[in-house]
Parts: sequence; C-alpha cells; structure tokens
Amino acid sequence: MIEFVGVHKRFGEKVILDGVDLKADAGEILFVIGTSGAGKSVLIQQVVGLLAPDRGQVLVDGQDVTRLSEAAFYPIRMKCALVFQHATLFDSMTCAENVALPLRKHFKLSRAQANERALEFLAQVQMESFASTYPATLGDGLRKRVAVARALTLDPKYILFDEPTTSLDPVSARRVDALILDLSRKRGATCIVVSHDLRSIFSIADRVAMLYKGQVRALGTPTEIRASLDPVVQQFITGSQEGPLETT
Amino acid sequence: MASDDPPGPQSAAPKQKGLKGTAQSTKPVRVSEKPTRKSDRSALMTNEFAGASLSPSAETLSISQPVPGFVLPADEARGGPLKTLLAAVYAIPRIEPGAIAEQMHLLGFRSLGFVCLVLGFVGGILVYQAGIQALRIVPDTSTIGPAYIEILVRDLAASLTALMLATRVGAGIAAEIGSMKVTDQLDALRLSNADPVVYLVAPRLVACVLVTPLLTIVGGAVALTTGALTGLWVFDINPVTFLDGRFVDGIDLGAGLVKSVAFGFAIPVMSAHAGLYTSGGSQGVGNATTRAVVGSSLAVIVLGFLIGALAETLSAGAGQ
Repeated sequence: MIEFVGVHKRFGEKVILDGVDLKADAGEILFVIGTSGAGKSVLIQQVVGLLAPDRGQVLVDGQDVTRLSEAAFYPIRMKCALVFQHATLFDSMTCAENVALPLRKHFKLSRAQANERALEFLAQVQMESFASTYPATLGDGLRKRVAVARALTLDPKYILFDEPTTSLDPVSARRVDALILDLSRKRGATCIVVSHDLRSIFSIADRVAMLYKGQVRALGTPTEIRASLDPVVQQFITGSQEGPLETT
Repeated sequence: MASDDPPGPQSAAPKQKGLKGTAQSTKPVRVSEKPTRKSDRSALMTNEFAGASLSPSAETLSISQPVPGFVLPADEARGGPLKTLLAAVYAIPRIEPGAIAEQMHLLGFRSLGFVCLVLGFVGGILVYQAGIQALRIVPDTSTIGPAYIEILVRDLAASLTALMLATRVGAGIAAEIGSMKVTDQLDALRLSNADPVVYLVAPRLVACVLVTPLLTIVGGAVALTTGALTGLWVFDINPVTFLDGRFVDGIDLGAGLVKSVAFGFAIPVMSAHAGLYTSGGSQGVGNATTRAVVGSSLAVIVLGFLIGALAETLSAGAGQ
C-alpha cells in the first residue's frame, strides 16, 4: 500500500502540494487527475525519491520513505517502478540494452544474461522485434511500451505511470490502457496513473483522485467522480471553458 | 472502451450513493468500495487487444545486495565541483568493466587529430614569431630551439592540449549529461540503480586523467616537429641545433606532467558538474555547455599558473 499523509511541497514561492492525503490500495488502479501544474507528477516522484516532500509522509508498505538516502531507496525502487511521461529511454542504448540495464544493476546479471532476459520482457509488450533498435527511431507509443518493459524487469509491486497515454494516437493509447489493466489484474500490481486522458480514466480506473490547488478535491470510483456535483470536478470532466476551475 | 464516449464501458447512470462531496462541498469525495466489474473490464480489454496481454510473472530472480556509495543528492540540492570530484573519485571502484577503455577511445583517440593539428600550427607560429623577434635584437637563432623546448615541456604542450580538450571533450561531456538531465534520463538511471556518477562521470574522469598526459606527449612531439621544421625552412636553423634540450631539467618535466594530470582531472569534473546540474531544456543544455568550456578553460589557466609558480619556486630553490 502506498500512502500520502499530509504531503506538502513547494518550489520557491509556488505551493504545489498543500497537504495531500491519499492512499492506493493493493492491486488497484488509482488515477490521479488534475490540471497541468496541479502537482500530479510531483506527487508520484516522491514515492521513488526523485523528489522529497517539504512536510508530511510518503509511506510504502508502511515505511516512511520521505527522508531516505539514495542507498536506502534501493529496495523501494525495487518494488516501485516509475514509467516516465516521455518514456525516458537511454538514447545511446538499444531497446534491449535499455531493458537490460536494471537487470544488470539491480540483479547483477551479466550483460549476456541481462540481454536474454530483456528479450523476454520486450516480448511481453510485443516489442521483441525492436530489440536492437535505438529508441530515437521509434514513435512515442513504441517507446512507451519499451519503457513499460523496462519497468517490468524488477517485477514491481507498485507501478507509477506519469501520463502514459499523452501524445499517443488513440489505438496506441488504448493498448497502453490494456497493458496497465493487465499489470493490475494478472500481476496484481498496484498502479498509480497520472493522466488527463478521460477515456483511460473511465475505462480502467478503479478509483480516481482529483488534485486541485494542492489538495485532493475529489476521490471515488469513476462513476462517482462523473456523478459529482462539484463544479470544479464537472468542469474538468466536461472540458468546459466556463466554470470555477482555475488553471496554472 | 470501444465507445467514443469518454466515460467508457463503466458509464452506467450516475449514482449519488456513496458520494460525500456535493457542489457546495470542497472536501474530497471519500469512497472506500471498489467497482465490482473488474473481471468484465479485464475480459473486454484483453479480448480487444489480445496482443497486449501480459503473462503473469512467475519467475523470481535472486537479488544481490545494494552497494552503498556516495551519489549526488536529489535534484533540489546543489553541490559544487569539489563535491562532484569527490563523488566521482569515490565512484571509481564501481566503474563497469570496459567503460574506461570506451571513454579513452571517445575522449582520447578521437581528439588526437584535433590536438595534433592545433599544436602543430601553434608550434610553427611560435617558432616563426620567436625567430623574427630574436633576429631584431640579436642576430642569433641558436637559442630559439632550446628555449622553445623548455616552454613546450614545462607548460605549452600541457596547457594547449588541455585547452583543446576543454573545448572538444568538455563541451561533449556537458552536452551529453545535460541533455540526459533535462530529459529525465538521469532519474531513469537512478531508478535503474545505475548511479549517474558511477555510470557517466567516473569513467570519463579516469579516462581523461589517463589520456591527457598521453595526448600532451603526442601533441608536444608534433609541436616540436613543426617548430623544428619552421626553424629549418624559415631561419635555416640546423635541426640538431634546434632540438637541444639543455634548458630542460627534471622540474620542467615534472611540472609538465603534473599539469597534464591536473588538467585531466579538472576538465571532466568541471564539465560533468555543469551537465549534472543542468536545468531548463535546450537553452539549459546550451548554458551548461558554455559553463563547461569556460569553467574547464579557467581551471586549466589557473591550475597551470599555480603549478607553474610552484615549479618556479622549486627551480629557484634548487638553483641556490
């Protein structure tokens, strides 16, 4: 279980998170939605120690990870994988080498062993034919699938997705949705997905949390969120230009 | 899912039950129960995109223990070049096999032509100018060669080589690491348990420390050759007279060697530091590259001055 307890975060004078309380239960797909700049990405980056909250706690399986050193984050990053918004593959490595890197570093496998394992993970996302391709030559959808394969190498208990369907064509986006759903249902992974993609949200989410002005504005199932009478939530869902929703 | 309607397959009639938030309330809606149609939706997704289905993970790999070590702090903290130097030195034992050789090829061998070209031309120009000045004062060119060799050994070869490396290698290191930083690749490395300092900085540091003296020797030899040829062709100085190392002593050789090693440390550290703390997209990468070249060049000049002054002091002390 991943919990955020009273998490505060600011960059300079700008308050990003102002006391976020949120919990992701085991095996669920929790979508975190909100306008651009609402702090969604900042929230999930705190789980793996890329950012640290100013106040509050981030708990992973009950362990407070807010003040861990880099070395102490090793076991946390073993069970919490983050798929970045832009895939963030290493340009100088082939797809197979990208996927093999965590295997070599976390499990101390030899280069040959890691590459062999990497092919298996690439096959799971139907990318084995691109094993020797460099990421720069791939489209966004394919890159994201390789990024997911890289995240799967550690068999993570928790997978954090940062806008996984942004900039993808509809078919590729739905494929990523299917992948997330499979990860949750077949592997039992807990998925926290930062997204504004309404189709994804209302297709695969178990619960949805909306961040607004640094706090959780609404939390519930997709059906409940859709039925919310909160005008801010409604404006976000409908995409109306008129309403109380303030964007940054 | 198959519908174009954003609410998707769950788009049942909105239910108010369970909602604690209202239009008037700004408190979060807290709902504990989960949807009951997971299996239905799973079936729908996997049928529609059967190709994307994953097999359940079964195999468990044995996990080796982490290697504790110094790594740079999270993005918010900022250290100085000294901190980057300490981190890189501390990371040296964890460098991957083959990484140093690869960097020696990229940083050293590929710089060889550039360094030789520059030092060759500078050597010829210096001897030409020195010869003209010498002939204006005394019509004797016999000491041009020995004096030139002393300057070359003590300072010129090391400094010029290092300045060329600062532009070529320094800019490359900063641009590569900086672009990785702004595209979150450094964070991705950290999540892969690949410490960016171990993976990117330390191999470049060791490689640069090793290749800078070698490039200095080769570049110096080229400058010596072009200088001698210039002396021969322009001033008719016999090469035997020109290639006279009588002014060169152990302190000169030591100063040149120490300088080249020190420059080998300074260039990758200044450049990698600029890259590691890049921010702000492509403009940030450009700024980091500029900082790397300026910082490396200044480090070469200042270190060259300090080591030269120390050598001069030692030389004066030895002469007394």
